[in-house]
Amino acid sequence: MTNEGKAQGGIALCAVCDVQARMVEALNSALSDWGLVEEPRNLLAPRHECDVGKQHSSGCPFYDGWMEEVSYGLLTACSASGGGLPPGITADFAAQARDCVEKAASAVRLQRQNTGAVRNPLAGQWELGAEAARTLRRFFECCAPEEQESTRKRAALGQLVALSYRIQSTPTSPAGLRRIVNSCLLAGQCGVTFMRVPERAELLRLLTQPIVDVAKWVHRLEALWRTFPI
Amino acid sequence: MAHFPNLTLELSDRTRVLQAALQLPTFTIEQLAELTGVKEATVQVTVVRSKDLIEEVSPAGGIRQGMRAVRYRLRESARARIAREAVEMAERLRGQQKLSIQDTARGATIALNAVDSSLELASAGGAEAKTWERRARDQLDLARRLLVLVKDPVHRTPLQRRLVQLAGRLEGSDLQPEDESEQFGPPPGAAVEQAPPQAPATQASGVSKAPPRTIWKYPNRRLYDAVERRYITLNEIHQLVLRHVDFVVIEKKGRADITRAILLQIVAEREQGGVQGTIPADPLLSRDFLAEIIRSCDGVPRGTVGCYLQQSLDVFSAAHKSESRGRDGGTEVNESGG
Repeated sequence: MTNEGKAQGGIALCAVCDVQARMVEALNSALSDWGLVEEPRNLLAPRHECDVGKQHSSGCPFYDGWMEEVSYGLLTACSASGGGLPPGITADFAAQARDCVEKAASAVRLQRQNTGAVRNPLAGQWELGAEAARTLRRFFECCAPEEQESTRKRAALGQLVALSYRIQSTPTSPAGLRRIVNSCLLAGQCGVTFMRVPERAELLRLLTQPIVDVAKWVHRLEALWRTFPI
Repeated sequence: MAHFPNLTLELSDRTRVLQAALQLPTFTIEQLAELTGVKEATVQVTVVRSKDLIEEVSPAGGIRQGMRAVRYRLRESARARIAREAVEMAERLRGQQKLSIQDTARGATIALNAVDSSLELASAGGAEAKTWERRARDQLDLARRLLVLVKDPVHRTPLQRRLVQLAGRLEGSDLQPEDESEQFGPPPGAAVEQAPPQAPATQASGVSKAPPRTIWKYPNRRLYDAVERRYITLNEIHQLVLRHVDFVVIEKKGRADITRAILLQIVAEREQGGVQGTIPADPLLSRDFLAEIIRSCDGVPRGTVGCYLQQSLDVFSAAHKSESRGRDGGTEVNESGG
């Protein structure tokens, strides 16, 4: 990507960051209604282009892909009217911010997926984290006992957000985060592909329990998918 | 706490409440009601009737109960049961939902794209080239595992071809995989337990590496080799280690990875002469050495000691290999290659 292209992309992302910052602020006041009481309520989806001064781990699939997918899920849940609205976000607020939110969400994804002429190598890393988050969300949807689809999707998003916060609050290095992302993607794929009830229940339990020791937690997650011949 | 003995609960309400409780570390009645859309009274009845599953948490920080709603949490023993109920209920309601072939193939494609990107970034050189190469190896391993899930040859064949191509590119580079010992780093200013060593299956590897052999440990303490389909002894596991065979030992009941424990057992038995059948006259780990390790573990972070020992052993192995290569005229035999 040329410098000019980078600069243009940066400006576009800075504009959408303002909108997202407002949404995160609104969500922070509402997160206790999602039951996220003990997790740190801070969406860390760093955008390198907007915060050049800070040190970022370049291309970390958790922060660059996973957390952005979570942010995107929250943004679209806010922009959608009806049952998908997170508690605490009023319909008025959503109606006012809807256009901005939709633009922000689509701009971020376009930027990351980089549909332009020049392919960004970091897009591959980003997509891996995003795919892990999508797969887990799908797994949570499969396991949610709610009958209505909208309620099920909302519950799955809530579980994904909670899990993301729990992972984020653990003392984990970038290499450890990559291992978590890879494991979650494999476990999620196994979960929705061919795990039977006991294994799926064990996976659900692992993904929804408090993470006391992240090393042991990852070890158990790996032990779960490693029992399959993949 | 109020009790409503005359109310009867619908199963779906109870399931909803318990499911919501599953995803929260601690919760209040109001939070569960908000999260599930179930009436507060109904939630309260569920909580009261599920004392075997849910326990009360005393308010943190000395806050009096009058100032803060009572918090509850799921008992650890109840989590597995509730998770199982949820999955069974979901399957009864909608049937087991499986990924389509396209969805599964998409996951593998994304992992291969990530390998491609990592190789591209590694080839650019610079200080992070090694990091990107390590990442490419991890992602190649991930892609290989995901590809197993793609059963349809129409989707599988082109992905397989691309995987082999990327593996060739990766193996063509002259950088060697490095051990990432500090994956789960301690929080600033605090000493935490070192992460368990990365399991053989997730170590950086090329595409040619076969999945690790699984050995099951049954509750009756017998070890079953899933490849040879027979019970094996600790002595045979010792032989697998000597032959560089990649394996994992999984506890049948809890599905926990106990490879480390088994390896430690082999070392312990070898030192006592149990595996080889003879008591070594000159033990590998002397009494003083073992005592020194225990003392080191108390004073220094455990990761530091482990890292130091690993490095020392690596240096020794390298010296030993080069010595034997010189003796044998440059030939070296490695059975598994991994």
